[in-house]
Amino acid sequence: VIAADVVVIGGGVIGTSIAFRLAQAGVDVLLVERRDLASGTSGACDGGIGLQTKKPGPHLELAWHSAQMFPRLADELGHDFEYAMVGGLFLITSEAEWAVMEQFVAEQRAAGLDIVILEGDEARRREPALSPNVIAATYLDPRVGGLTDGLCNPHYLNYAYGAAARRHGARLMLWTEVSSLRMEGRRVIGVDTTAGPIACQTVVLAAGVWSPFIARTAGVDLPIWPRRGQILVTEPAAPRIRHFLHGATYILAKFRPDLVAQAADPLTRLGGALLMEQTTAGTILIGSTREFVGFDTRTTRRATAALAAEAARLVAGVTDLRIIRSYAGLRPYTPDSLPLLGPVAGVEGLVVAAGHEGDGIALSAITGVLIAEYLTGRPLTYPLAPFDPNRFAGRPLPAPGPR
Amino acid sequence: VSAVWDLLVVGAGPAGLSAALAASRAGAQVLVVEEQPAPGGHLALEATAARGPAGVARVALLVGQAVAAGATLRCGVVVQTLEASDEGFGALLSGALGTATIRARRVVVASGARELPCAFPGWTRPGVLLARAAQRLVVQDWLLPGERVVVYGAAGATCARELAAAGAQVVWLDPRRGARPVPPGVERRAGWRVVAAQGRERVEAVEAALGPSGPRETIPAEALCLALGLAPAPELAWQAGAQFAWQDVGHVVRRGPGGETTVPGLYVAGDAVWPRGTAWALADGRRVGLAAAGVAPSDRRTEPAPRRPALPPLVSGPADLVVCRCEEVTLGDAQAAIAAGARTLDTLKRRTRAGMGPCQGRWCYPLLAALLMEARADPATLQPPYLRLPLRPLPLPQLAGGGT
Repeated sequence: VIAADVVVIGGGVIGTSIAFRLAQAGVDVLLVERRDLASGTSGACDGGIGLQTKKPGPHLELAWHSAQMFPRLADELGHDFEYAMVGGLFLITSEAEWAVMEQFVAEQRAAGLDIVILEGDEARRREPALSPNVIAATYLDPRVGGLTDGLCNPHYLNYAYGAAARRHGARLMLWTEVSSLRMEGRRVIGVDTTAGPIACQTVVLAAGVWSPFIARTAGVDLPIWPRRGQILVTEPAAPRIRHFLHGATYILAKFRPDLVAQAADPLTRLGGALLMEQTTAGTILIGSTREFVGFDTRTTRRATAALAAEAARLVAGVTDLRIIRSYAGLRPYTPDSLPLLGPVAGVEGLVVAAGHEGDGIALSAITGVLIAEYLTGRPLTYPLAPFDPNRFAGRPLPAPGPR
Repeated sequence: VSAVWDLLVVGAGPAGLSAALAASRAGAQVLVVEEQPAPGGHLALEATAARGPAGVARVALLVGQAVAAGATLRCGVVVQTLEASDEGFGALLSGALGTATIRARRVVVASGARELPCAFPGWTRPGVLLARAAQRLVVQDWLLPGERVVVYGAAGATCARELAAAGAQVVWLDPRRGARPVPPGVERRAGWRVVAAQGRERVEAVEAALGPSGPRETIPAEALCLALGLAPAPELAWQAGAQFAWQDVGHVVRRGPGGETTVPGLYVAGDAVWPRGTAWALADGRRVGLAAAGVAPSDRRTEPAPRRPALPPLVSGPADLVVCRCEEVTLGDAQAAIAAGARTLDTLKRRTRAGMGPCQGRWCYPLLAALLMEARADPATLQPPYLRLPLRPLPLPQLAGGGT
């Protein structure tokens, strides 16, 4: 019989980051992944490690803690994952967007982020590819807090966490699927898998959008829904996009779904907003939508056309490129856009770390640390209370889509 | 132009033209689109005749018949994606003039087969080309890829014939032993394999060996044409999520009696099912075209079992041998990724980038599949490459116009 003190379910960035921190702390940890590492959401996303994309409050504070870890993380993991603190620009193209962004920036500044609004020409001086439609852009100046928005290769980050976990003694069981939690009364005593049962004291559920299926085997309903994000990939080009770019409508799409519902343009109606970054390989990623369509990971004519049109509208300097492919990943949505981190009420030994929606890459570093601190009884770097997985208990939760 | 076509046929080779002809005669409104600038598929690359009329003459006859029966033919048009909808499919087409979306109740994918690549030291050198590319140079552009040409592979007879007829000095390295018909003017060497393509930049000579351990020889040549065999390439059926089974060098689509795949309304015909020669492709196209036009299939013959082409190893060389040309992924990279946990094309792609380039893996897929199978991957989990839209690189402004 296979046994471990802690079983981590899920080999994405969250699960591997947790396995790494637990192994580093000397815990006997076994990670179970039904396919290869980076096979789910972590393998079908963009590489953003954003700060401007976070809501002031616990969301931004958690992201700040995580962002602080990234500049040293490659050394710690022993593998490069193409991290660079490139800085982000939110592109504003109308007075109405400007008004919303001014208010959002005021909240961010009050929370300590030194964000400035650049005039259009100043933004184009920093990023010559921007189109004349851009009338202003927000920018987080790294000279004050020492940090700004970054980028990385999420696949390589995932493999780096996995390799570091292994080096510290974690066992990784790939191509092994967990079918259910093994219970003794209301206590978790292990997991059943396609490779047989595994006995353990604690289960960390880090299976992203698939977590609810496993939680349900212990009678727990986790409020996570898959939200499809489609992304286009251009042919490789010489460096021409320096920053991590977003349309200002990103903030609307993420935090003001009420405004999204009334929108006229096709991308906004798909929950989408422009996101653009150039990878180390030279390809430019153009995202992204946020669609509630269950577990469907196909890309669509409608969304890819809307993304291409929005890219052309905001970034004139990419319209000479060809799109070579597209892909889609499932972001784990929660009703308040905050992840579920911590013990599940009523099931002893079950800890969840899932529901990071589009912030999984950015929050992976701190998530691993917090879960490991919690499980080893060390003082927490940041309190788990705002992310309590049981915070929705007793509240009616309308399903935003199929799952 | 109708708002909704009864049938969209993808590919105007023997199977596609035959399907279009049969469906049009059965009363269906048929649109045939062909990616190449002219119809005919591989048949259009045969100017000289082995027996009966030459391929180009047969293409002209088929096109004439299909158009006379009412089919519409558009060349230089790519189907970038198919989307199932209530009344069939929406297809995003792109061509020189831009993109357009059309609707069709049913779709026959007759996109043919792709030639197998083969990776050995020097295979990415200029002067190494696929046999059909060499045939296109000779037959359509009246150019020779070189004065002295080596043709490599059991499927090399046609290519060797066309090159020799055009005046090249041709050595055909045929990995099969024993006697075979040899086209006039061609020197065939039975049981020989290519070891490497040599040269400072371009190919200057081909290093060959008789069997794995027999004598070696360096053959001076300006071009090396790969004619190892074919693997079916119903790329839109891969994208649409039809079911497949792995077979030796490629995936065979699961079809019902009329050629319908597991995706309702989506059919595959001809070499795109499995390459079995022109006569079979014509007959299969007719059968599938009728079924797609709503005529119940009368011919209930079971499909012949796919035959494995006589193949040398598809990948042989040192760890720095390139196996994915777009992303320059090496054999060593691929083997390390497989050792670390990759078991499918998809997981190998994420670990190495093999298949993330403009070809989306359609080029390197047989090589990567061979490596996975060598490492004892489960054939049941080895799915074809998932080619997302756009199927071929598409200028961003054209894609922006494709959402309606």
